[in-house]
Amino acid sequence: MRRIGILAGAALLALAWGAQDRPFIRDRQGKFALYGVPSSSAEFLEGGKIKFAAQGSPARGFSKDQGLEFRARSVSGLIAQPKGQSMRLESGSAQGDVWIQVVRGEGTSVVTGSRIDLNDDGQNARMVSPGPFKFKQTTQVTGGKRDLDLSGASGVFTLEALGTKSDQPLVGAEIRGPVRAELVASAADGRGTYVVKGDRATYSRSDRTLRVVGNVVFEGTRQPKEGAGFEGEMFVDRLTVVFNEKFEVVRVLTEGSPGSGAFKEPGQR
Amino acid sequence: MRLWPVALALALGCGPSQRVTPGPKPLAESPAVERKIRAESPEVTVRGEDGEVAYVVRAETSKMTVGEEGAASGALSGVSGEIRKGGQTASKFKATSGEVDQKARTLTLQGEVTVTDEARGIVLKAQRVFYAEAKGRIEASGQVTVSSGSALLGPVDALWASPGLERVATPDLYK
Repeated sequence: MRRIGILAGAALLALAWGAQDRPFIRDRQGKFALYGVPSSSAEFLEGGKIKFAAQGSPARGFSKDQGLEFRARSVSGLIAQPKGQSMRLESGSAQGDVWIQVVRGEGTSVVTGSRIDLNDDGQNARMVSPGPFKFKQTTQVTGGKRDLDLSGASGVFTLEALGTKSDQPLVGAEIRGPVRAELVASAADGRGTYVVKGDRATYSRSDRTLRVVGNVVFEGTRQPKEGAGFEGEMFVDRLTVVFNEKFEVVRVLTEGSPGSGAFKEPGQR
Repeated sequence: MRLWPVALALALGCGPSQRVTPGPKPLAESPAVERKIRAESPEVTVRGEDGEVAYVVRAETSKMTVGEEGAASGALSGVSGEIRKGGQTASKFKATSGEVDQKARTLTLQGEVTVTDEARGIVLKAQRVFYAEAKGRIEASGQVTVSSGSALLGPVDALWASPGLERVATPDLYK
């Protein structure tokens, strides 16, 4: 009898869990879904667009054509249904324990924060975090991977349109501090770690530069498989890091005073 | 009983293709003043407080029992019709069975209910739909789904919708 009770309880739990996991909005091709939302609303607009709002614990969703996956306590936004294509998220706002992942080609970007707003106009995707956030971009490279970690008190990121294949999807970023940027690259030819801290930072893909201003601290380590590497740190007012097309650090420019720094071969005291 | 207006409407011939067959006439001395009315292809039009048509219901058959003072009970089967808003058809509906309360201006549809906004291709399906003209919303329950283009909402246990289906929400979020 007790066994039957346990089984019945388990079945009810499974049913309740199943109900939680049922998608609220999905497309017929199975490429878009919003689920885990017991409270939700939708408005059908002209042109087939759908305005939605949903709350969950957490609300979860994906848009496969955009390489997008997300979860948050509440989400709202606008879904487009382009003719002959699957549904896609045109714009959205996620609040509460937000986690957004964008996967494309060899690169993956993950943003976490308390609130993230996203707008994808088909040319660029713009992510805005009005509060503290963390951004991580991982790119697979020959013989290894490259991780770029950015964090700050608020930030605006411009990415290539979601769904576009790119190994460097980050087009630009504006971050207010305290800012921390960390680039860790492990590749066939060695390993390098660079950490920059400062009051504000901007990144532009057009000239492949990361500019950090105000109370800048730069720490770097480069350990190539062959030849001499370096280890060092600098304290400056302004710092510019220039990358090459493979997103490797090729130059570090400093400005202002007080500026101090020391570089040495790895392992030296 | 709330269904007396339907019976009255049917008896008075509100529908264009209506045939009403009264049951046996009660004897004058009989205490049981009950009449059975069976109508085929009736049509009932319900107006809102503003005098505008709120909804029109058609049924393949209806079976009504009219008691004292016009009190009635019964059911419509093979129901179809339309909900109107501002003189326009907001949506059309179909169901296995239904009930109309002309006084309260409510409509209850049951069994394979389909509500459609044909102009925009929005289709709501549910096991039961309750429409209250005064509240201005459709209350759907039981495996509710809404489809529009390639989008599919639900199934959910309960969903409320505007008369034209342009807005849908779980009851806690419906505005």
